[in-house]
Parts: sequence; structure tokens; C-alpha cells
Amino acid sequence: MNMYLRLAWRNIWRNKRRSIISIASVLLAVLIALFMRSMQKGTYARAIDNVVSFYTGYIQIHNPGYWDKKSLNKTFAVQESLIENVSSTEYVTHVTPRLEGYGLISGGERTDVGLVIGINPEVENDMTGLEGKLIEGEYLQQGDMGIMLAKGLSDHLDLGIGDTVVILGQGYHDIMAAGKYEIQGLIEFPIKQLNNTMSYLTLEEAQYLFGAYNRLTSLSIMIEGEDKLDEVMNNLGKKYSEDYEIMSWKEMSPELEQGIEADNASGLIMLFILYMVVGFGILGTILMMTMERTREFGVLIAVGMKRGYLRLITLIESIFLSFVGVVLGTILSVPILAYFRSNPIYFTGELAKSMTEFGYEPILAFTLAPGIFLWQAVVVFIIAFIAALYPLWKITRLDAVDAMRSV
Amino acid sequence: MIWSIAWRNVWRNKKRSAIILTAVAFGIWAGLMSNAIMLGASRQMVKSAIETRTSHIQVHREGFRDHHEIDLMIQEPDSVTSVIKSIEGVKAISVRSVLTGMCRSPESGTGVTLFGIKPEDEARVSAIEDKLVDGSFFKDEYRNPIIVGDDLAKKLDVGVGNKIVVNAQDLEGSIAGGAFRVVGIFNTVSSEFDKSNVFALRNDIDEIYELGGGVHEIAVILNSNDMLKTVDEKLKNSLSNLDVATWEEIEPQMSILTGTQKQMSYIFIGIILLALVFGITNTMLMGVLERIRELGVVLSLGMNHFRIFYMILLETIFLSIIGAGGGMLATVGTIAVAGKTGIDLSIVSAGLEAFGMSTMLYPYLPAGEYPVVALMVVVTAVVASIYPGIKAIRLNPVEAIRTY
Repeated sequence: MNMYLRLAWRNIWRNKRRSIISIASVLLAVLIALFMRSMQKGTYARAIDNVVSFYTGYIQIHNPGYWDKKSLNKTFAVQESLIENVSSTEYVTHVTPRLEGYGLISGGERTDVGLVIGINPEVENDMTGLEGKLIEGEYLQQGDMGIMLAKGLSDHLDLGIGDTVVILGQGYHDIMAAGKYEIQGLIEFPIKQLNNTMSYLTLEEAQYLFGAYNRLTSLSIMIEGEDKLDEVMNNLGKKYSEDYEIMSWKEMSPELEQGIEADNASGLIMLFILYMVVGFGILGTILMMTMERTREFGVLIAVGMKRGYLRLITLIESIFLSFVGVVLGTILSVPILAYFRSNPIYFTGELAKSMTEFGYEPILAFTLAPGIFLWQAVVVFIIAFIAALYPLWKITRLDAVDAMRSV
Repeated sequence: MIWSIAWRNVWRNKKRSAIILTAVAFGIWAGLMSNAIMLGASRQMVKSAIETRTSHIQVHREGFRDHHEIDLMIQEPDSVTSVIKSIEGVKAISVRSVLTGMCRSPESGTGVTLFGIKPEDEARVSAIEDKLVDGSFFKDEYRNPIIVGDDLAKKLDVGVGNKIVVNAQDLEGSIAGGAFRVVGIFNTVSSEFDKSNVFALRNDIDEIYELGGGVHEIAVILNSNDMLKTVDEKLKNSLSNLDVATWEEIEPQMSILTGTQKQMSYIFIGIILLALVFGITNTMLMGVLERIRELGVVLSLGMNHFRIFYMILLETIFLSIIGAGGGMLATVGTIAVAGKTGIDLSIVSAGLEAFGMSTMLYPYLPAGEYPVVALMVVVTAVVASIYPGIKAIRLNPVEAIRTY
């Protein structure tokens, strides 16, 4: 085997320039592909992380039928045992109870529609880092009677800290919900839609406002990471799916999941095209290497070389040619990707604004997950095998006598 | 003469040339098709935005678009509409009152924008009537009829014939509530729009929220989007005290997105061509190396270096342009078929609808794109020919004729 490897290696370097150009084309493709995949995967992870840790959590538990209707009539009564049991499920890091409903939020002259969310301030902060988004005033504490408004909402209502808002809405079993609250904090969200609608009360105040004593719309659950999602969903499903509706972020934010899938698919198609083009280049080189050695093949077969070994050598040549490009490309890419991983690209100007309006953080993040590198190697091996088909076929058909006579 | 020599040289090694031709053709086809798909998608996005949300131009009181303040009404709407109607290119207008409020059913409640319209005017301006999936466009005799989006209807758990209540601030600043009967349900490509917009009769709105006949918005549809700039300028001049906004100003993210998509597709074609440079260079280099003896002969016979380089360059351009031509023909063919039948993307539809895109995609490529790409291919060929060309003219004639 060792000898065949050495033969193949030397054959590649017979025409140095040609091989270097071929290897360079693979190297370039690998660099571009790695850059693109790292950027896509990194940005998806960031987007998922944003959505999940901003608000929804990885998983939510509701009363059956709540998600479609978002109705306060589809709330469920809190049982301490449920929260405790869910918290102690493997990989679950946080469980936070919420009660939320829409209401007209009125301050002096102006009125706007907002989402009123009752939270357990401490747990909510542990899970979503809500306190970090506070830009003015005081963060809610257990027992506080005040309200925290998103900045866009307070700007529109033309209110600040210390002002009073009136909330009118529809409560549990269609009772009239009405309450008066002092603004004690302002919160800024990067996503416009959230920034224009969110307002926070303590859970107890919200339950009082909506007349939904001791009831919740959802339990929001954080887990250790996206890769544990299926397992936790399974475990929770076994225990609670009869009495509750258990949804993952993929079901709650189908736009995000399918947006990611669509983008991922278009990225893969682009890379497929790129690799096809590079593949043709490799095929051309292998074709040349085969044609100029027709005579040599003939001699080797005539003196008794087994065709099988000859095929093996040409296959190894093709793989070497591609593989050197993959290895060099990967080595070159690591410092570049590592740099961008710690220094993600931020969009600026109009584009950033429009991304924010669509609910995306204007950022290109990168990842160094091993999966993207492994994938390159697999693709390039496939190209090498396909490119090697021509010489394999040629060797099978080769007539030693004819071949020796050719130039 | 150099031209015909170069042309024949291309076909010396047919297999080799065929491989690189296929590579170029495939690359160009794939690049142009991805461009066409992106352009088709953004054209559809713009079209549906104009049809359902923004119209071509909207006129408001200065500042109304920021927060929909109820008291920022258009003064003397009749004279404003007659000014708009008198401008050439204006096809239809719809005068609307616009309120922000809470929409409730016994089941649930959510925030909505309530439009007060005149059905016969609105039908000429927006495509909401065509997008109805249930009920009719204010044809039945009901008190306070209202038309809602399908996503909203589902959330409120209401259907045609059911009642909903819309609470909103009236002119006095107090909250007024009106009960409406759902007479129609629409489904546009944008689920965001369907979730939060409802249409009722302007007279009813006027009465319930005591607007005193005031209106907030005049939506203008033009004969074609090409007239946007000229009509916009005229309107901005003659209605200088009002806020005249084109769809590009109302939804700036739309024009930015389409612009970004265009850049992206050029970058992608650029990457493909960059990858092709290597393949083409290699092919040409082989072509030169196997002709060392021949090149040595013509050099010693006194053919000048510039002409040799020129020949290699021409060969490369022929090779690339034939491939690119094939790719472009394939693109024209593919678009002719797919542009009619459409490409079904319903597997990922929810994701697309959130962006206001339709699930059927019709690729589209303006004729102007082809020459641009052809030029990019020629530049690629020139770049690819440099190394083999230099290799050829650096040959030492005496050594070269002894090779082989």
C-alpha cells in the first residue's frame, strides 16, 4: 500500500503547475464554503438564542389550545408540584411562570395597544436577563405595584418614570380588566415589534388585573442548549402531554425556523453549484493526467501490472489532489473564522434598521463547530471519486498493445 | 487570421474543451438562475406590498404615520382629492379613516389597525376584495359590517356572521367601543398584515368614534410603477403642507432588501467566475504546454510576441463565451418555462409569508442582466489567459523547437 501511495503522490507532482492550480481551486472553494457555512450556522445559532432567551424560551407549557387563541380563558391553575417537577427534569435550567394578555394602555392624551405580561421578576431576569435591558428607573421586585414599559411604547404615550398609565382589557371569563399603575421602569428591546408593545407587571398584579387568580398562560422553560431540545421535549411529553400543550420554539416561531431552513437550503444550493464548478476543474486535470499516460498504462499492463492496482493508484491520485486542497483550506480558514467568531460583523445604516424591523439582530456571527469542517471533507471526497470515474473506466477498457503505440 | 487560428485551437482537444465549456455553462446558468429567483421573489414582494398595504403613494397629515394620532386629520379632503385626481398617471384613490384599537371577541383580544373605507373606491385601490376567502366585500346588508384577516379570525375564533368589538380612542380622548359583524375574511401573503388589519365602512366608523367626517389617509394607485417618481414630485409640490410618501418611503426595508438581494446575486456570480478562472487557466495552460514545439516554430519564424499573446487571449475568450452563451440560452429556456408554471415553495411557506412573500415563485430576469454577466465572463477570460499567455511568450524559441 505504501508504494501505491508514493506512486500516486509522485504522479501528482509530474506537472507541478497544473496540480497547484487544481489544488488552489479546491482550496478557494473550501475557504469560501467554510466562511459561508460558519457564518450561516453562527448567525442561526445567534438568532435562535435571541428569540429563545428574549422571550419564548426553548419550550413552553400551556393549557391545551392556548397558543392558537392566546385567550385568557385558556389559562391553567398553578400547581407548585408542576413547576417543581418540570424544574427537576434533566437539562432544564430555568422555569418561569407568566400570565399575559393584550390591553389598551392609556396615559393622559394617548392610548395604545400593548401586551401586558405578569412575571416573577427574579426568575424572569435569571432566564432572559430582563433587568439588563432596563434603561431607566427600577426593576420590578416581588410585591411591587408598578409597571415597566418598553421604550417605544412609553415614547408613543409620551410618558416617563413616575407617570401613571391606565390599562383596559378583557380578563378571565370575559370580565372587564381595568387597573392603574405607576411607571417604575423603562426597558429597551432591539426588536421594534417588542419595543412597541411590551409591558411588565408582577405575576400577582397581572392575575389581579385580569381576574385570573392563581392562573398562568404559560410556563416558559430554558434548557442547556438547542442540542438537548428533542430529549427534553420527549421527557416532558411523556409526563404532561395529556393535560397540557407542550411546544418547542420551532412550533412557536415557525417563521424563524422556516426562515432558517430556507436560508440554509439556499446556502447549500450555492455551495453545491460552487463545488460542481470546481469539480469540473478537477475532472479536467484528471482527464489530462490520464490521457498523457495512455502509453505508460499500456506498458504497465503489458508487463503484468494488475489493472486493479492501476485503478487504485489513479483513485488515490484524485483523492490526494482534492485532499491537499481541503487540508490547506481548512488550516487557512481556522484563524480567519476564529477572528470573526470573536469579532462578529455588525451591520450599520439602513440595512441594520430594516433587519431590526424584521425582528433580526443586525449581526453576522460565526461558529467553529466541527460539523462544518467534516462536511467539507465529505463533499470533496465525493468530488474526487466522481472525477476518478473517467480513468477507472479508461483503465478497464484499455488495450495494452494499442495503448503502447499511442503517443 | 489570428481569429480563425484561435477558433480552431479551441477544438483541438475536444474532450478537454467540452469539460471546461460545461463548467462555464453550468456555472453561468446556476448563477443567473439564482439571480432570477431572487429578482422574481422581490418583484412579487413589492407587488403584493403595493396591492395590499402601501399602494403606490399615500398622503397623510404631517406626523400621522408615526403613531396614528387620531386628531391628525387631512383638512379639506375634497380639495386634496381633486388635486390628486387631476394629476396625470393617477388611476384610482381611496380615502380612509385610520384608527388603532383593541379588537375583542368573547374568546380573545388583540391590537389592530381599523380602516374606514368606501367599498367601491377601495376595490379599485387594493386587492383585499380579491383576497377574500370567505364572505363578501360589503355586499350583504348588515349593520356595521367589518372585514378581517384570516389569522385574526382564527385567533379571535370568529367566522362570517359573528360579532366583534373594536375599542379605540375617539376624538375627545375617551375610549369608544363599536360592535361589528364580520362579513368577510381575507388572506394576503403577509401573515403579519392579516393578523392586525381590519376594514369597515367609513360612515360607520365616523359615527361610532365621532370623527366628524374627518379622514387620515388617501391611498393612490398609479397606472404603472414607472410613473412613481414624476407623480410623487408633482404631489409633493402641490400638497406641500401634507406628508406625501411613496411605497419606498413607507416601507424602506422593502427597497433595501431588494437592493441587497441584487448585490448578493452579483457576489455569487463573481464567486462562481472566480472558481472558473482556475479551471480555464488550467485548460489553457495545458493547451500551451502541449504546443511548445509549435509555438517555438512560429516564434522563430518571426511572429511577434504580442500576436501570440493575443491568440491565447482570443482562445480563452472563445472558450469562455461559448460556455457562457450556452449557460445563458439554458437560462432563457428555464425562465420561459418556470416563469409560467412557477416554482412551488409551499414546504417553507410559513417562513416566507412572514416576510410578505408568496409561496409560488416566478423567476424573472430583465434582459439588461445578460450583457452585464457576459462582460463579467470576458473579464474572467482575460484574467485566466494572463498566466498561460505569459508562459507562451516567455518560451525560448531554440529550446522550444527541440521539445518532444
